Amino acid sequence: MTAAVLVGLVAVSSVQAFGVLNRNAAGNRIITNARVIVQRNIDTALAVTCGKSAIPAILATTPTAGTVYDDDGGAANIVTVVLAGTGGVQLVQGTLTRIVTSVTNTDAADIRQITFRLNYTFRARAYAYSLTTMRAIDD
Amino acid sequence: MTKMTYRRPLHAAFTLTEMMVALGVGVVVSLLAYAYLRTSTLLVAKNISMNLSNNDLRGSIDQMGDRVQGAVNVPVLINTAGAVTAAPSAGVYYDRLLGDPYIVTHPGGNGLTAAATSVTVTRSTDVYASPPIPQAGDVLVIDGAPTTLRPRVSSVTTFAAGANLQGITITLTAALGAVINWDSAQPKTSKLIRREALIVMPAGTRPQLRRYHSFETTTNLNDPATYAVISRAVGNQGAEVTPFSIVTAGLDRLLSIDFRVRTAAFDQVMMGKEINDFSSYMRVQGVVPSRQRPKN
Repeated sequence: MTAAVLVGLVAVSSVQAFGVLNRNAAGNRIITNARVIVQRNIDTALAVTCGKSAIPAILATTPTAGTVYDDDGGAANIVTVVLAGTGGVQLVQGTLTRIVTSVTNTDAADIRQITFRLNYTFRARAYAYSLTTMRAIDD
Repeated sequence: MTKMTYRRPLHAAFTLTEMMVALGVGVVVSLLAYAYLRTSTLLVAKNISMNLSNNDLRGSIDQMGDRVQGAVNVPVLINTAGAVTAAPSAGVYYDRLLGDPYIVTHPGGNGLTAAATSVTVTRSTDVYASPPIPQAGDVLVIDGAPTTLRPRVSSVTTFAAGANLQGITITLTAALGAVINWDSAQPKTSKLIRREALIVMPAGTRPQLRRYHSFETTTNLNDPATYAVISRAVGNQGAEVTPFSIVTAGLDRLLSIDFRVRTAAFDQVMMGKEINDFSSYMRVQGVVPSRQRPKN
């Protein structure tokens, strides 16, 4: 009887452990997706031409709380974090926030601090991934 | 004293009812064991698939970003034969910067003639700024030369370094092909590049993402000596084999990568066991700029 109980406990706990491993793996995997979304916007912000007379939308200053930014052309103000297989089902969606603020400096140069933050929910838990960079205008 | 002994009945056996009960218990225990082992196997398969997909995708995205961000031009879309094509495409080629600057030695007269088959340059050997010694297959881009000019390195002769400088005579694979004039009193700079390519090539059950080290000199795209495999698990359905396109942001053109991996691990086990192929399938959409914002 004792042996049977022990075998049962081992079986249940090991299955639960496998479940936890899978949940962690899925969570980490979605962070990769989030990172790519934030990274592509940071890279674009750093790479686009930006002159005094033409500030691209991605580098326009925002309130300190930021504004919602949608760069994937899908549902309005929502970015797709995890797309399923060939069906195109959106498994996880998120909200991307763009924060661009001017950086005060003694040379009065136009330097901007750029932050992209992606907020999403996975398994009823809120996650956020953000990157910050700085750049000056070209002229 | 008489010793009592147990005598086995001559016809000892289980009744049919006992046998049926024992058999029933055995079946239930076996089913439980089977369910447990099956669940464990599926969970292990899902976990391994998920981690393999994630690792594959992260490695691929990182490497593609690293290579393209080191390019001095906007990547050019190509197909699996290496020919220029429209978006979306299976591959791209780009000129990766290997090092600069190299100061071109004035050969006398007005400068380099179209018939010149060698160029002498000087590089810095300072530990903080030392562009590499050119290798066969590299291309020396001389500033001010026509953009179509691609003088390729055949071999080099190096001189002894001194005062953090080293002279190098570069023998070209062919005559320069165009005159490059400049005043001998002015320095003439050049940079070293190499054309690489990233192509999703068909290869068995899963296409491979390959990086060709020297695309310009590669004649057989299926020769394993000419490429390194970045991913062996690129998706094989529909547009999954054509992940590259170009997006514009104002005047700038950036490489867009819609990359999808489908790890082949546990294909049979996972078949039909999950919704949307979640564990084995992973897709990201990235944008990668080239170095120093080239326009073409």
